[in-house]
Amino acid sequence: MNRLLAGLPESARAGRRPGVAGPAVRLVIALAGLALLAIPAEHDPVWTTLTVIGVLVAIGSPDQAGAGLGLGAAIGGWFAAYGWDGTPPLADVVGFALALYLLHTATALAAAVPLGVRLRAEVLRRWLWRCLAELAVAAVLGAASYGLGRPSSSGTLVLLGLAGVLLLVGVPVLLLHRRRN
Amino acid sequence: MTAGPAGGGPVGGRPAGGPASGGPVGGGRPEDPAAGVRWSPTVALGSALGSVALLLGFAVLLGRQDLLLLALPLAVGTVLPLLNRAHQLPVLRVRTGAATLFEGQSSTFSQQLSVPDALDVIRLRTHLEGWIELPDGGQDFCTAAGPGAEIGFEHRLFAPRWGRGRIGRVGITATAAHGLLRARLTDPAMVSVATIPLRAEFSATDVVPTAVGLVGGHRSRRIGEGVDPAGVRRFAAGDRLRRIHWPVSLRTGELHVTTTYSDRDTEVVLVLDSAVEVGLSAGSESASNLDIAVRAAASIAEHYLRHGDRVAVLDLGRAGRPVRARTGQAHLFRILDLLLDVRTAPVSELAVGRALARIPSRALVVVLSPLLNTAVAAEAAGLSRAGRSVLVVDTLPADVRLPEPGPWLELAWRLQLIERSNLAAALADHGVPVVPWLGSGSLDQVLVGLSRSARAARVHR
Repeated sequence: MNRLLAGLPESARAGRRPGVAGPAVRLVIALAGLALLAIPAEHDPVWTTLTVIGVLVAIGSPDQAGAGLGLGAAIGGWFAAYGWDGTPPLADVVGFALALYLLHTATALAAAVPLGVRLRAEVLRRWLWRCLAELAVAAVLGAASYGLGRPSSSGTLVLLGLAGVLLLVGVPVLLLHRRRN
Repeated sequence: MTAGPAGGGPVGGRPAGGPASGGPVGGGRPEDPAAGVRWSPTVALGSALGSVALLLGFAVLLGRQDLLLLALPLAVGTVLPLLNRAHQLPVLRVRTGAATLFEGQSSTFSQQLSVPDALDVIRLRTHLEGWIELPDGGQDFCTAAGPGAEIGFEHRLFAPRWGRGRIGRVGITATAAHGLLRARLTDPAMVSVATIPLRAEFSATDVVPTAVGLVGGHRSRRIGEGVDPAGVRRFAAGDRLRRIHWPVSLRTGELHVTTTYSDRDTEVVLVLDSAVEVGLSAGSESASNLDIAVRAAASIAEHYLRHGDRVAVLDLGRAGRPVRARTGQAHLFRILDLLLDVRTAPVSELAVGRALARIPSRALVVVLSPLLNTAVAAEAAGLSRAGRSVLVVDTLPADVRLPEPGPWLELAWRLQLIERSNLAAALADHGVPVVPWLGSGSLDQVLVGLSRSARAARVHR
């Protein structure tokens, strides 16, 4: 009997108040996912399913590759909706770009802030401020590229694309070089 | 997250101990534990790079401007943060307002964060060991900081229950480059906090069964220097003149002196039965038998030590490490220090037998037990049979909630309670009174009774 009672020691701790920031960030992920599904004119069931799975994984476990799957599937859905040579409306393009960015950045924030952890206001303030700055830069670049108009030949776009790829490859290489030094 | 005033507990009258501080946690200096910690890319960086490459690649191949526009926010959100990324990790210093607290008392726990480079999210996760809490959410929270920031956080540190607590292993997770880079480091920078059991206002009669020694506060049965009058007798050579009882001397025509009982001290041995813990241990709200035993032991020890007696403590779970009988304030701290480490432990009958056999024959033995262990009750009865004055303080909580209520467990518990009642009755038959712990005055009647029975035994001999 005493052995039975030995299992009795119970301890009680004060409960921790769950934070609301974690669920709010996940709500942004869900809204961005819904926008990715809603904006294209047509829906392919395969890409839609993959996008939903990716967004759900991003909400449930932001540290996993859910956001990557969601982004890739949403881009696939974009191709499925407008074809390889389609011309989507500008509003759809801007809305879709914003949704892609929101899904990416909200998942990155959710991965850094687990559910139930208290979040101080400056984290959100700082994050939002950086989002706005990045979106502003992207808007300026986007407007500049849009102002070029649709090139008759794809030469300008090829140059821009090559510059972008070089930038994407060059930045990590430059960072690696600086870290070694 | 800002704490209330330190040392809020009104208990005990002794101020909380001095502050305790831990070393720096984090940082990029070579001597720091974080020296080997590197920034690592997150999944978000991979997915962003993949998406941008996909979009730009198809934009180039298909000559579509919309794909370039789709890639722009993601590309800017990847390149700009990486160009302005943080290089150094933050350095954290922790500090508590007090190293010693009483049960229910609060202090402060301060965290000073030095952030050399801007960080988007800094998660501070403090691992607490033992009965200490950070009730305002300071145990796990996220913050952000700009470059060169010095941020201080002050949390309320609450000690709900006696024991030793430690604040340590502060885990820092720093997220930089807008969630694209992350670094984790953990440092075992321990800060210890001792929580002293809450001692009830305890007082007991100054009557003890056997007063020994040369000086003290208890009236002994022997005639000598003291205060309590024992009688009047004829003057004899060596009697002090101030002891002459003038009314009797005048009435009888012969000098008579007043005799008094000598005041002597006693030795109190507190025996803690830590074989089993029953009940909910939740600070001031609910107490287990160990809580009651520890608090009662602290109260009784403080009372007798304050009166100049010698107190020894024997934890049956650690029978090989008794606190030997001493007196004084320093000895009280020694006892309290031992009580902090009381926890459930198997009771070795051999070790207990040896330890109890060393108890002096004239000591007052107070056994603090829930009477759920037959061996402890048998040892108490054996001590009484050997002529020692023994009393058992029942430490079983009034309301014991079974962890998994069920028909068999409830039946077993009822059987255990019946067995416990039989044990108490058997102990009473052996001259060992069993009293529940009720705080002040709860031992008075029993001590008077034990004193009478000790006198009666002397007469019969």
